[in-house]
Amino acid sequence: MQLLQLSIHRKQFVQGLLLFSLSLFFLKLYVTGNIHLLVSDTIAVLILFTILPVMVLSCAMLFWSVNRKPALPQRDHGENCEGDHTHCQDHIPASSFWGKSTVCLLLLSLLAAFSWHPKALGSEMIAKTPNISPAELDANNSFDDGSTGTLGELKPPVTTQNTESVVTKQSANEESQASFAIHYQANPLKYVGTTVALEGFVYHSPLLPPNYFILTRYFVFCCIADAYPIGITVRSSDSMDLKNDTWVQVKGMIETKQLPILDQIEPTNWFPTSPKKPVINSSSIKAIPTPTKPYMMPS
Amino acid sequence: MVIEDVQLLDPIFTFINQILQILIPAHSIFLAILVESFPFVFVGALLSSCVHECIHEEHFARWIPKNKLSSVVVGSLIGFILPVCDCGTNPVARNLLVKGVPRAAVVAFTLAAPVINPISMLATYFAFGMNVHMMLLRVFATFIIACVVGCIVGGKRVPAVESGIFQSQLEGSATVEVSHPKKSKLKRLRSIMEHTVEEVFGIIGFLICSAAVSSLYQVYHTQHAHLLQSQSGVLAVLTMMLLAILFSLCSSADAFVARSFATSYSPGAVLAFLVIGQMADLRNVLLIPRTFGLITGIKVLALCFLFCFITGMIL
Repeated sequence: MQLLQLSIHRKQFVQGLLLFSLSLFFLKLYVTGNIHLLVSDTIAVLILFTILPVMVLSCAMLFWSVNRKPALPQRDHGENCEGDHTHCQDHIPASSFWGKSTVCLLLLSLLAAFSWHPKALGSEMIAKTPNISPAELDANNSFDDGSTGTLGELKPPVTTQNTESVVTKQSANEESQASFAIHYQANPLKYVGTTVALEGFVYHSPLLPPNYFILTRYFVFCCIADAYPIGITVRSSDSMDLKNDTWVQVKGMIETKQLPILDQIEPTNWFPTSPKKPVINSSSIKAIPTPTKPYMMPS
Repeated sequence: MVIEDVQLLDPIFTFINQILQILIPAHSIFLAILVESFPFVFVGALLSSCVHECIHEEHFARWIPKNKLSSVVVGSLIGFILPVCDCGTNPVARNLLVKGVPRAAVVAFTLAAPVINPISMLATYFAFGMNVHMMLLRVFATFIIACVVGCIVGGKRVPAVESGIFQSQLEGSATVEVSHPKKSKLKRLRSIMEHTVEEVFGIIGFLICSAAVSSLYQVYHTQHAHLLQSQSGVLAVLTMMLLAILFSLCSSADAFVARSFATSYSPGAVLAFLVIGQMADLRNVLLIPRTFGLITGIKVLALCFLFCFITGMIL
């Protein structure tokens, strides 16, 4: 019976192992649903189609790295190569500095990947605003004048009895704030006096009084590296009880207020054309768990 | 005494807290960039390996016309049919020169092929939010610069044997392996798979470094936006070009990193990042002089830098 001599080609083995670990990480992201905390739905689908080929490739590398050859005494390696050096890995010189560095970097990245604590982006990624003096703040902004306001000289439709939800969130995927922002910019008067129900996380801007907060969600094109916060100002007596990054559902009526300061706050600077800004005068605020798909995406 | 000691530790705790406030979101963004760009890197490496294994350089030589202007145009567009990343263009370029292809066309191919190919174009399109404008701008700018630089440095066709360094490298080059015409399908498949893994590992180190730098910078900029002004003008373009050279990303991954800078830098600076990164990154700074000779190589790199800067300033 011929004995088999096993030798493992280190480079191929390490490459196969690292690629397999990477594919396991992608699989873990997908199975747990945490992939939606990092990338958009489109990219998530691309990842799904990449997992299997990468796994197959890594398994092939692991298989090929184990060199099964009959054990021969005093084997001269050159004689056994039979002229075809394409797959004869022993002729390839030892890994370069950059090759070893790549392995280390990938190892560290995998460590970072598997130790990642899944968490949606919060207020830490909202751009900080410049300091403004209290006098300047009070001079130009009407926080508690109680007015519902009008936009320019036009009057809103009489909708004080209208409790129909203009934009209601039906599923975790719906583009609530983004849809509202688009619809409101197109026809602001249509929404003044109507009731909305929106979900997002709480953001207390240092430029707003304690009874105001901004109901925010991030809009993501591809991944959270391009995430952009979109928010709507909410006025509520319960505002001070809500901590930053708490996910809530807010119901209330849309009114407008003289609040040009909102142009300086990132989530609310999407409607810069008028000093009168939409504000939700909330009738109820309910804490909700963080959605599995917390980001808004292009439809 | 105890109270004073604790108060002395306050700045340290504040500093640690500030570092954590940057590291925690940067961790997520770093992973997001890696996860997002990996499919494109993998598919690009796979396609490049298929090209490397299945298509011989003689085919390229037959497609390219002799006229200088026509040859640079065709050379720039070859990548659209046969996608190779910038890791793969230099070995192919060396073999094309040996086959007698005009230098102008080879230069144009080397500069344009990493960008003017379906994988890179798709990655740019996705990275900028299904926005076709940045993709078209990148392709157009790359095409024009590649053609112009190719025409300027083209000159007379320089036989490869006159370049001593180049010749000795050719003899030891891995691309010589491609001319084993009678490989079985299984061996060919294995070769493609092994080459794919090599290409992925050739790219991923650069991708990891640049994703780390990009994510840290983005978080720092967001949290200190009132201290940092949005960059525009000469400084912005030069900064982004330098970052692109240092990051040395492949064309399917750099679009995602560039997108993360789009809120802090002007569109021209971002475009300059996307264009120069494939023409004159750290790898090409070393490889282009080795492929075309020292003087020609330096001319190519200098012209690429100049035209990319002008492009960034115009936009």
